[in-house]
Amino acid sequence: MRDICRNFQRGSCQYGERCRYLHVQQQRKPNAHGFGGQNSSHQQQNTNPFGFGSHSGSGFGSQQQQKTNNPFGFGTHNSSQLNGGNQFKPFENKWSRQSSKPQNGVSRQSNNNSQQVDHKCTDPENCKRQIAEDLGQEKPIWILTCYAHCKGAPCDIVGDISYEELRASAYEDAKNGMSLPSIVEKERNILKSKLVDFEKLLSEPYKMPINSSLDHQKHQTVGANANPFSITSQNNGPLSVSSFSQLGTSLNMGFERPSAPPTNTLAQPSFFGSGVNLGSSGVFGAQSIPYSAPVESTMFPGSTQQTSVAFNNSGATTMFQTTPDVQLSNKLKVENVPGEFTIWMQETWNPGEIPEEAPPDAYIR
Amino acid sequence: MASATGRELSNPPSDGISNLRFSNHSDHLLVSSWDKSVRLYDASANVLRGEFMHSGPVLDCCFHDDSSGFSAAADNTVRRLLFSSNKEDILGRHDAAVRCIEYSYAAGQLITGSWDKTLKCWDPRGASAQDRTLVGTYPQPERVYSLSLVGHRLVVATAGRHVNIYDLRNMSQPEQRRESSLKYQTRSVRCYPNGTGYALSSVEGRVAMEFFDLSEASQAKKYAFKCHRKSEAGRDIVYPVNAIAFHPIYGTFATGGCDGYVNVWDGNNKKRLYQYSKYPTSIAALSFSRDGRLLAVASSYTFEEGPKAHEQDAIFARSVNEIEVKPKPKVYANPPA
Repeated sequence: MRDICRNFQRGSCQYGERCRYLHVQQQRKPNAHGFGGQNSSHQQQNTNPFGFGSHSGSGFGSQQQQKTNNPFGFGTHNSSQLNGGNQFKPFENKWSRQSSKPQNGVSRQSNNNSQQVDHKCTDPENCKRQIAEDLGQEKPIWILTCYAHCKGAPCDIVGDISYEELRASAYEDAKNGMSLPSIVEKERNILKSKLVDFEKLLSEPYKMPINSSLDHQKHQTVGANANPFSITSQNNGPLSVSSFSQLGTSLNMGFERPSAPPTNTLAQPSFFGSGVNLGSSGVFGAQSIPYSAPVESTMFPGSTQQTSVAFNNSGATTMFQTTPDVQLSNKLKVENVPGEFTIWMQETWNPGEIPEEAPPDAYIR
Repeated sequence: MASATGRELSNPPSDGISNLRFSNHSDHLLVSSWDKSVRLYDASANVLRGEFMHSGPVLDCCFHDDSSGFSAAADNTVRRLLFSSNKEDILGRHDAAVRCIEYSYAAGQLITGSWDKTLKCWDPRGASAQDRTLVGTYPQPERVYSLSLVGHRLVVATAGRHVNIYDLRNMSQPEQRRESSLKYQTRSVRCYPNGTGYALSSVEGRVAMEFFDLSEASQAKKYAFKCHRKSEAGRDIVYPVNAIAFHPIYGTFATGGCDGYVNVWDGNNKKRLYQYSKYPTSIAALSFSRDGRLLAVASSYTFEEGPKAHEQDAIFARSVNEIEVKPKPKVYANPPA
């Protein structure tokens, strides 16, 4: 009935769905990621650098099924994915083609974010998958950040530090006469403990953050919290033992590793000068954990060798050599107490900070 | 002398730039810096018109009118700066570094957010004793990282991804309490000039466009997009988005990230309009002049990789061409056959 839109074939029809010519896929060479409105169904995972994801899946994309997911509707930095034998050479696409950008920007969202949109924290496995995906592909270069796998939900990893705080703290330390190497050491410890937080979140079965609930922004009572934990605590046991020993072997720091069945014997946290510490290992094993935070107790710095995961050192930009300590140090009596446990180390609590659960045995003096 | 990056201002601060702002009345630019100074430039003439030294790094600054401004410093002070006499006085203090400062013309009040987890409102007309100027203190769930005003609305973004929305006429409690729809630390929040919502950027190379109206219809319009990322060897390098600035006339906005690029976006049509040439280092701050003809870019390493050697901090004032910032709505006419 209508002619085929030539512009669309080239990936640059500016009229989008209003175009009076037909927008069909692929008359020309297949173009997996480039312009041309491909209908690739696996949009979530990939290479959708400028995917405009919509929160509400029905937002805009619903009308435009044909033209889904045009990852580069937005112009791109991402030349490597712009293969595809169209007229547009990869590096030229940046911003000069303003008038010829496809209208597809809008349609892109529908598939792109459907996974995230639909994610509800009903199944820890699902949550875990989501986390793995996020941390695998999109880890930011700034890692001293909080993180939540589910939008609108409380954070899975707490301990947000902005770079201004880091910098202010470093300047302050320097002003007070702290030597550069010790500032650097402080920073490195903070960084390491954060890395471990993330690794833990990734490697262990997903547990809800303490104050979370499926309807966010409410603080639950202990009773309500216990449920998600008890469900997962069984999984926790065997898994944590193995990860424990796994992590333990790679360490060359002189601290104790619990022998096979972790029990409460390791109750007292011991804090080593280098900043490693062992939290309560009473957390592991058969006991149901009132406190299973996203961060489990023990921390193994330098465990970056470990895993294929998250914040490896591979990217040159990702790991910084030195990171100043920060506001956190005010609250921490000992630097490397794992995130969730720092609360027990404080001398005084402000209202609102007081945890509702009892402390793990290790912290009861 | 304009180049691809715009004209570089002479006499820049000697350390990182934390924020910069154009005046609502002229092309004066106020710049706050980690070298403990606040500088006033005339951006079109490229002249330094004033400098104020504080006792700690200055984290934010804003104009009151063309004769005075305010600054927020890491020495916990909130100061008023008088440009003509080059004098400053302390309006008040927080318990920790003051991170953000905004002056509300609608309410006639100065609003500051601090790492001591509070927001304070000040009346700058009062005498400089803290008791007289402080109007109220409002606790926040976490340390305040960014705030933005439009009309009577105030949006506060804190650590831990909390977002509070206040009506300035009733600060006793937030009008809305939200969690950020992004997954990582919030870097910056800016309200749309038309007052319908705000844009929120995070360290994960994403910006979320949100709306105040809680109705289904409005909330359906919200979305988020990825930006400031670089693909290398099959995975993305994800840069924090540090700054957002709205064009006062067109309502389009620019974002600046740690990748050194400034992008201009059309939020309504969901497109990128332009990308400026790469700046020497991370973009710390952006500001459009009141007529939208100039864009000030602070190219200043923001410490996202800890202390390291970096390019010199610089301020660029570039002329803005209409084609870079004007939205291009969809056209309904027939395409040429």
